[in-house]
Amino acid sequence: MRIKVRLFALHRELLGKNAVSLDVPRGAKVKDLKPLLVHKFPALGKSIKNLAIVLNGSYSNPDSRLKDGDEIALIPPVSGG
Amino acid sequence: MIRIAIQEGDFSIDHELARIKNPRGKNGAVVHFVGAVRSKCRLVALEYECYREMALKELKKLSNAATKKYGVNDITVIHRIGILRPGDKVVLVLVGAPHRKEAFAACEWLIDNIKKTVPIWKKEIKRKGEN
Repeated sequence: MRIKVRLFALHRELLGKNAVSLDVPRGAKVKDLKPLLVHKFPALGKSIKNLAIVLNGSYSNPDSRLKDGDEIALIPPVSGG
Repeated sequence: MIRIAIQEGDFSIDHELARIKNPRGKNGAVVHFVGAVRSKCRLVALEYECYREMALKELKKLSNAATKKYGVNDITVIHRIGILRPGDKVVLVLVGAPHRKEAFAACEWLIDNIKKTVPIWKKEIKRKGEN
C-alpha cells in the first residue's frame, strides 16, 4: 500500500519537500509509521520522536489501520500565538 | 456567532469589535486578546506557517468547546501567517458574553489551547548568520 505523508515546519525543512510517498505493509497501523518513516527518511532522525500524526484530517488513534491512498500529516510541536 | 480566520494580512480590532452584533444587549462584556511579535535580541521576524485545513478545524472545535464550557455568545479568532516583524499583530481572540467573568475566562482558555493544539508553527528569522 502507498500513503501520502504531508510535511510541515521542521520536517519539511529536513526533507526539503512538502510531501512524500511511503510504502507501508498491508494491515499497518498508525503506530507502525514512525519506524517506517525513519527507515525510508533517515534525515528525520530524532525529530520523529516528538510528533503527532494526523490521519485524513483528524488527530489519529495509534491503533487506526491504514488504507491504500490515505493521507497522513506529521505534526511537530505547535507554536502558534 | 463564531468567526475563524487564518490570513496573511493584518486585522482591524475595531472592525472585528464592530462585527459582534449585540442585539438587545446580550453581551454585557466583550473581551479581546491580541498577541504580537515581541522584540528580542537579533530577531528580524517570525515566519508563521500552518496546516490550514486542520488549523481551521481545530480553531472551530476549540471555539465550540469554549462556547459550551463558558456559555459565551460570540467568539472571533484570527491568526496571521507569513513573515511578521516585531510589533506586528499575530493573533486576535475576541469573546462576547453576558458577564465579564466568563468572557475573560473563555478568552484565556482559548489562547492557551490555541498555543497547545492548533497546527501553526513559527520560526525565528535572525540577522544573517545567526539563524
